[in-house]
Amino acid sequence: VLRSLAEDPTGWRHGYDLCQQTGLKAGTLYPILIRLADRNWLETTWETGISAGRPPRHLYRLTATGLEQAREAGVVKARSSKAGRLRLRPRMGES
Amino acid sequence: MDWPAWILAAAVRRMPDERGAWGAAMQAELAYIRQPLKRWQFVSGCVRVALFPPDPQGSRMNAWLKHWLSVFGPAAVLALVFAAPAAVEHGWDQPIRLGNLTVGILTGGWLIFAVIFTLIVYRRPTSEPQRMREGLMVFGAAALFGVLAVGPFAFMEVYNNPRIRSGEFAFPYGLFHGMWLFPTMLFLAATPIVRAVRAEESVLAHPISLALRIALLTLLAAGWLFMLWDQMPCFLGGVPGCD
Repeated sequence: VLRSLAEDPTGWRHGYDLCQQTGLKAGTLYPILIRLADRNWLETTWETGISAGRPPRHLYRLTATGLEQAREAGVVKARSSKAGRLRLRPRMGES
Repeated sequence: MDWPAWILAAAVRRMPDERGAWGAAMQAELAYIRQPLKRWQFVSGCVRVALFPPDPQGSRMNAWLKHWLSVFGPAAVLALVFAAPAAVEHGWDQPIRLGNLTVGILTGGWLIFAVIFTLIVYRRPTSEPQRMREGLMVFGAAALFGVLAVGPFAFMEVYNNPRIRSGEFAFPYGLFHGMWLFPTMLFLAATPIVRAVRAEESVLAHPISLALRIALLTLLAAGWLFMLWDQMPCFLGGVPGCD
C-alpha cells in the first residue's frame, strides 16, 4: 500500500483504485489505510467537483511523514517515480 | 433493491463515531463499482471492516506489546538456552530445586539478555529496528506462547503435588523446559503459513516447503500431545513416584 501511494506522492488516490493496484481486498486495505491515517502517515480529503447523482469519494495520499517512512522502509526508489514510467519516446537529449 | 449497498449501510451504522468517515468512504466507493460480482466482493470486505474497525487504543496496545515482546521474549529464550548446559550438568533426570545454580543462571541470563536486547533495539538506525523488531517479536511471541501452553501444567504439577510444595520433591525443571520447546517451535514453524494466509497470499506457492512445514508441525504437535498424555497422570497428582 505504501509503495502504491508513494508512486505518485502528490496525487490523490481512492480506495477501489488502491484495491486494484495492490491486489488487496477491501477488508485488508481499509484497515491499513485507517491505521496509516491514525499515525498521520496518510492525508485524507473528500472529492470535489463531481457530477450530480454520485457521492464524493474519499481520497488519500501520503503525508510528508508517511513519505519519509516509506523511504525508510525502502518502498520508494531513489529516483523519481516518473523515471520508471513507460515512455514512447526518449526525452530530449537521451539517445 | 441494491442489496450490497443496503448491507454495507447496515454495517456502517454500527461503526463508532470516530470511524464514521471511513464508513461513508466505503459507501461512496461502492457507488462507483458497477460489476455485481465486484460489488459483492468489495462489500464483503467492507462489512468486516465496519463491524470490526481498527481500534486506535488497540493499535497502540499492539505496538507496546510488540515492543516488549521483541525485548523480553528473545531474552527469555536465550536465557533458557543459556541455562540448558547447567541443567544438563545437573542431570535432566534430577529435578532442580529453586535457588540452585541453574535457576540463578536462568534469572541472571534473562536479565542480561533483556538489557542487551533493549540496547540493540534502541541504538540501531531507525530503519533497522523495524525489520529486526518484527523478527524478534515473532521469536518473543513464540516464547510467550510456549510459556502459556506449559504454565497451566506447571501450576497443576505444583498444586496437585504437596511434596513439591513442602520441598520434599523438587520441581521438574528439565521436563518443563522440554515441554516448553514443543509449543514454541510449533509457533515458529506455523508463523510463515499464518502470515501468508493473513496477507491473502497463496500458501500453495511453494508446495514442497509447505509439505515439509506441515510434516514438521505434525511431528511437533504429536510430540507435544504424546508428552502431555504421558505426564498427565503426574500433573493430576494421582501417580506416586512419577518419572
